[in-house]
Amino acid sequence: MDGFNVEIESELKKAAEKLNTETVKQMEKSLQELTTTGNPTLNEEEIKKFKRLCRHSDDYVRYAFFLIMKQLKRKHSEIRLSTFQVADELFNRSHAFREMLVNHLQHFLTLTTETEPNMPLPPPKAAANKLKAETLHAVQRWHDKFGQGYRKLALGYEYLKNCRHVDFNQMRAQNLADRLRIENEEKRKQKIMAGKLAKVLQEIEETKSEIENCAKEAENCLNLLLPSPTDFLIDFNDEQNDEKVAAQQGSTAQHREERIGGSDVSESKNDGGKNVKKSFNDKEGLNKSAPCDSISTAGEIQVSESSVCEELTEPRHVSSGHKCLPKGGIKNLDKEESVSAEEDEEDYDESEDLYAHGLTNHNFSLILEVPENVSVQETGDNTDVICTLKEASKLISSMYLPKVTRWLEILSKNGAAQADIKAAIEMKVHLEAIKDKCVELKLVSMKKEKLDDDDSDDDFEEVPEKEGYEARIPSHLRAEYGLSGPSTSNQQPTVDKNNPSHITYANGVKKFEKAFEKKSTWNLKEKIVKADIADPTSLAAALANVKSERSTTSAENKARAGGSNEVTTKELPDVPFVEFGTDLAFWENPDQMEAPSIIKFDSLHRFWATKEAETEKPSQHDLAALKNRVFTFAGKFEPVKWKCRAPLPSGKLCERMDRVKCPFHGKIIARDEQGRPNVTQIPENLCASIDETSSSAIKTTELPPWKDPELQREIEQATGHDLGSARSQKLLDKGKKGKGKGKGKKSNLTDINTSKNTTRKRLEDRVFNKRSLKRVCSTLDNTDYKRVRDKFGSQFQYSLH
Amino acid sequence: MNLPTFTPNTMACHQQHSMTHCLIHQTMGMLAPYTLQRSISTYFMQGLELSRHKEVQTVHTAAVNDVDVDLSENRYLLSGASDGTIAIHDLEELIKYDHNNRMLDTRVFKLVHSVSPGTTDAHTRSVETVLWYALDTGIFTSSGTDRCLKVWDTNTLKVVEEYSFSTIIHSHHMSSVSTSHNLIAAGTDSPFVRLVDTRIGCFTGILKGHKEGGVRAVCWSPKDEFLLATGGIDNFAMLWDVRSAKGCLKKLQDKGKKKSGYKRDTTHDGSVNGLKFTADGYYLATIGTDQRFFMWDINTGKKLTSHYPPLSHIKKRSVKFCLTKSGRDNFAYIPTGASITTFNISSDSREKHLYGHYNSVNCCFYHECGNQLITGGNDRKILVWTRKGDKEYEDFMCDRRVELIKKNATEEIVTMPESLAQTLDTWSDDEQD
Repeated sequence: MDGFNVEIESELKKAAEKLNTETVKQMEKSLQELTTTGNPTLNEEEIKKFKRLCRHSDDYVRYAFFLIMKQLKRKHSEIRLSTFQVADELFNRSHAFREMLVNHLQHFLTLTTETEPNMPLPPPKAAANKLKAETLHAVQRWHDKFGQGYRKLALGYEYLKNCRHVDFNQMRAQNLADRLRIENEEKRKQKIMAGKLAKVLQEIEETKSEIENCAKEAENCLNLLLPSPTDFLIDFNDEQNDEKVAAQQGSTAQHREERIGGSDVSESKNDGGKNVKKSFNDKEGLNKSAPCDSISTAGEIQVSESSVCEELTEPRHVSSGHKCLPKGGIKNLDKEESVSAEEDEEDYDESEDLYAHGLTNHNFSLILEVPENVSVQETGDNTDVICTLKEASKLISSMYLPKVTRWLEILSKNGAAQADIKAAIEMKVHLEAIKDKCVELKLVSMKKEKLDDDDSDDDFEEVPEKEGYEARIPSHLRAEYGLSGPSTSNQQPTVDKNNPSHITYANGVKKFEKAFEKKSTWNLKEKIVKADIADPTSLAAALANVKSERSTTSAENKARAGGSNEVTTKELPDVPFVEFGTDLAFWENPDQMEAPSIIKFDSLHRFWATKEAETEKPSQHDLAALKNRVFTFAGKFEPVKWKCRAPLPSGKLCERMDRVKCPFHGKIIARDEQGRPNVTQIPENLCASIDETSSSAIKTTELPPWKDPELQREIEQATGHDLGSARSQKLLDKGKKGKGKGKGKKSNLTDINTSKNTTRKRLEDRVFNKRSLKRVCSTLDNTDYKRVRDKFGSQFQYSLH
Repeated sequence: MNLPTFTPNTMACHQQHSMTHCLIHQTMGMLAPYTLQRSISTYFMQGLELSRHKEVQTVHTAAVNDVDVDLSENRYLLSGASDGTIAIHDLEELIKYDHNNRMLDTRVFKLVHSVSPGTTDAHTRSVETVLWYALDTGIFTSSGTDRCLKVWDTNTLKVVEEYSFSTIIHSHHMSSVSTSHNLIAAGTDSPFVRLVDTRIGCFTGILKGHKEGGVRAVCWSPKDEFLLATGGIDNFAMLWDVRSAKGCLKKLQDKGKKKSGYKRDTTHDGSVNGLKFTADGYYLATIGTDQRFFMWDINTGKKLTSHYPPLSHIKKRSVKFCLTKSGRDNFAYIPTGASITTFNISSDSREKHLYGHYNSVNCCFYHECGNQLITGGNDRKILVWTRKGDKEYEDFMCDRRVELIKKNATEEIVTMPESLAQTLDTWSDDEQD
C-alpha cells in the first residue's frame, strides 16, 4: 500500500504538470466540495460539474481517479462514502476510469469495504456501514454490467465472493426475493381475479335467462301499454292522404314530423282536432279519448306555432290491447271505449270535415303540443300488465341493474374477455332503456284517479252522509268554516257539473283538457282548486283553510307592526329613570344654563357681615359640574365560592378564598381532589403564559443574570474573590460559537472527535492517566512493601534476598 | 502452442526494427537466430496484463502458495494450496468456450488431476513448495507446514516417499542439472539445511552454516550441479558445495552499514527470503525482508552495483519469485503484496506493478514457452498474464469474426462483442447539460 501511496502522489504531481492547472484546481475544489458535504447523496449540480471537468480527456479522468483515491484515504467514513459515490458515477461513464479503478480495485476495496482486517473503516459507524454495503452493491452492479470487459473486475468479484465470503447471492437474492414476492402477490391477485371472474361469469350464466325473461316481460308490457309505431302496420298511403288533408286544414299550423312516426302524426292531429277546446263549451264534450297511436308519437311530433291563440294539451290516452292493431282496429276499439254519444264524432275523422276536427273556419289556428312525458293510467284492463311492468321495472332497477353494474365493474377490473364485457354492457344498456321507459311512462296509479273520479263513476257507492256535513255552505257562513273566495266555491260545483272534462269514463281513458286559462299542463293543484271546496272533508277545503289561516296570521302581524310605537306598560322597567336635574331643565337650550353664583363671606362672624357680598363669577368648571350626573354603580356582590386548594406541605389544601389570585399560590386554577391542577382545564392563555415563563426560565438557565461575566468581573475586581467570571465567559462563548458554527459551517460532516467524548473515554482518561497510574502503583507498591516488611522483616534469611 | 498468431507488422521488434527487417537480416545471416528469438521473448515479457482469454480452471479453495511448470515438457502446471490441495493443470489442453459470458474465445487450462485435502496421501496442512522432477513429469515433490516432504508418483498420484522433518519446511529444491545426484535441499525452521537423497530415501547430509533461526530459501545452481544457495533468517545468503559438508563455500556479504546493524556484512538487512539463480547460473538474485532485491556475482561473491527498485510487502516467509531466462533482457517478477513487481534485471529500469490478485500474491512463474506469467495468490486464483492481456489476439479474432460473418451471412449487421462494448465510454447521459 505504501508503494501505492507514493504512486498516487507522484501521479498527481505528474498529472498536474501535464494538465491544465486551472482545470486541475477546479477539479480538486469540486471534489472537495462534493465529498465534504456529509450528505448521504451527492449534489447533482456539483457532480455534473465534476463530470464535465473529467470529460475533457482521459488524462483528466486518470487524474480524477488519483484525486479520488487520495480523498478515499481520509479518515472519515462520510467523506469516503461521498467519494465512493463520485467514483461510482465515473465508473459508469469512463473506460479510462474503469481501467484505473479495476487495476486498483484491491486498494479501493480495502478503503471502502475493509477487506483487510487491520484497516478498519473510520468512524462514524453508520456511514461506514452504509459505505460498505453500498460498495458491495456497486461491485455487484459493476460486475453484472462490465464483468466481461474487465477481467480484474470479475476476479475481484470472485475474490469477494469466495475469499471474503460476501454473499452476493444473498444481495441478489434480496432483489430476487423481492421480485418473487411481488410475483407471488401478482399471482395471488390474478388468482383472486380469475376466481371472481369465474364466479361472476357463472352468476351471469345463471341469472342471464332470468334477467332476459324479466326484460322481455317488461318490454312486452311496455309494448302492450305503449305500442311502438312500427307495430302498427298502417297503410302508408292512407296516412299520407290524411296528412295532406291535415296540412290543408291546419294551414297556418306547421307540422313537423320526424321519423316514421309521421304517419301517425296525422292521426294524432286528427284526434287533436277533436280535442281542441274551442270557445264552445258543448264541443268540449266531443273530446274523446285520443287513440293510443297518438301516444306512441310522444316526443316524435312537435307541433309548434308562433302565433298562439290557444294552447292545447292533448292528453295521452293509452289503453291496453292496442298493440299491432291496424287503423280499423283502433277505430273499433275507440268505439268500444267510447261511452258517451260523442262517439259519433269519431266518424267525422274519416269524413275529413273541418268541423269534425273542431275547426270552425280556416282562420282558426291551433297548436298541438305534445307533452314529452307519457303517462299511462291504470285501468281495470291493464292492471295486470301494469302490475307486471311495475314489478319487472322494480326488479330491474333495484336488483338486476345494480347487479349488472357490479358485474360490469368486476369484469372490466379483472380483465374479462371482450365478448363477456360487451354482453354485459349490452345487457346493462338494455335494462337501462327499459328502466328509462318505465320512468318516462308515468304510471298513474288507479287509486288516485278513482279518488278524483268518484262522483262521475258509474258504480260509485253511496256513502252515508257525514255528520254535520253540509254539501253547500251558504256564503254568509263561509267564514265560519274557514273558507274563502265565496264566488269560486259557489261556481265551482256548477262548473264541475257542466264540465264534462272532469268526467272520466269507465273505460279508463282519461282526458285532460285545459279551459281558457292559459295553462298548458294539467296539475294536481289546479285540480284541487277546482274540486269542491265547499266540502270540508276534501283536500281542497283543507288547503283553503290553511291558506286563510295563514292570511289572517299575516294580517295580525301587520297590525302588530303598525302599533309598535305604542309603549306598553310591560316595557317600562327597561327605560332608565332619571331624576329631574339642571341639565334636563335646560335640555332645550343648554347655552343658557348658568351656574349659581357663589357669595363669599370673608369674615366668619356670626352677626357682623360686610355690606356687599362679593359674588364670584362661576367658572366653566362649575358649569360642567352642574351638567354632570352622578350615578352610583355598586354592582352586585358575589361572594367567592371557591378556594385556592393548592396543596400545602401539611398535606392539606389551601383554604384561602381569593377571587382571582392567591397571594401564596398564584392564579387560582381548577384542581382535582389532591390539589393537582387540571391540566386539560387550564385555559389556553394561561397555558401560554406558563409556557412563556418556562421558556424564559430555560433561557435564563443558559446563563442566569447573576452569572453575567461582566458583572462578575466587576464584583471580582471590587471584592477580590473569584466568582468564576472566566468560566461563565467561556460558557457564553461556547454557546455563541456553537451557533456561529452552525451557520457558517459549510459541510455537515459528522465531527468524529466529538463523538469520542463518551463516558468510557472520560473514564479512560481518568483511570489510565499516567500520573494517576503512577500514583496508584506507588501506593500499591507501598502497601505491598509494608506487608512484606511486617511479615518477614524480622526474619533474617528473607532480608538477604 | 498457445502463442497467438500475430500479423508481423503489428509487432515491433525491440531494437526499433520491424519484424520483417529482422527476419531478412536473419536469413541473410547478419543476425544470429537466437538474437531474434530472444528479442521476441523479451517483447512478450514486457507489458504484461491480465489475460482476457486464458484462465486456469479453478480448483483451489485456499490460497495458492506455489506454482511450478515442468522443465521437460513445459506443459504441466503444478500448484499447491494452503489447505493441502495439489493440482496439475495441462497448459496445452484447453477447455475452449466459444462464448463464455460472450467473451470471445476463452481458453481454460484444463485440470488434469488434483489431490484434495483429506485424502490419505495429501498434506494435512499448507503446502508451501511444489516442484517437478527436472527430467521427468513422472515425479514431483511437495513440502509444507505439516513437516513432511513428499515425493509423488504423478501417474498414480500416490506418495512414493515421505520424509518427516522436525519443523515446518519453508522451501525445498532439486537440482535441475544434476546427473550424479538426486539431492533435495530443504530449508526448515532449523538453521541446518537438510539434504535428502531420494535414491537412498533418507537424509544424507546436514549443512551447518546458518547461525540461528530458519532457512527460508534454498536454490540449486542451474549450472553447477553441486552448488547450492541458501538464505536464512540470520540475514545471510550462503553458497554451498554439497560435496563438502564442512562449511559453506561462501557467504554473500554486502559491505555497508546496516540499519538493524548488530552485524555488519550480512547479505541483507533482514532475513533472506528468496533466492534465484539466473538461467546462466552466473548470478544469484536475493530478496530480503529489508524490501530489497540484490544480484550477486557467484564467482566473486560481490553484489552487482546496479540499482534495483525497492520492493514492498516482503513478509517473513519464503518468496516464490521468478526470473525469466530466454529473453535478451530478462525480468524479475516478484510478488509484493497485492501486486507483482516486475523490472528488468539486465539494465536499470523503472519497476512496474501488475495488479490482478486480491489480498496477496504468493508465487510467480514465468512460463517461457507460453510467454505467459502464471501467478497464484491468496484469493485462491491462479492467474495468467500475457502481453497486453491478449489484446492483439482479441483484435485479430474480432477481425476474423467480422470477416467470417461477412463471408457467410448476407446480413451486414455485426454485433459488437459485449466485452468490447463494455469498455466504451458512456458520457452520453451528461449530454443534456
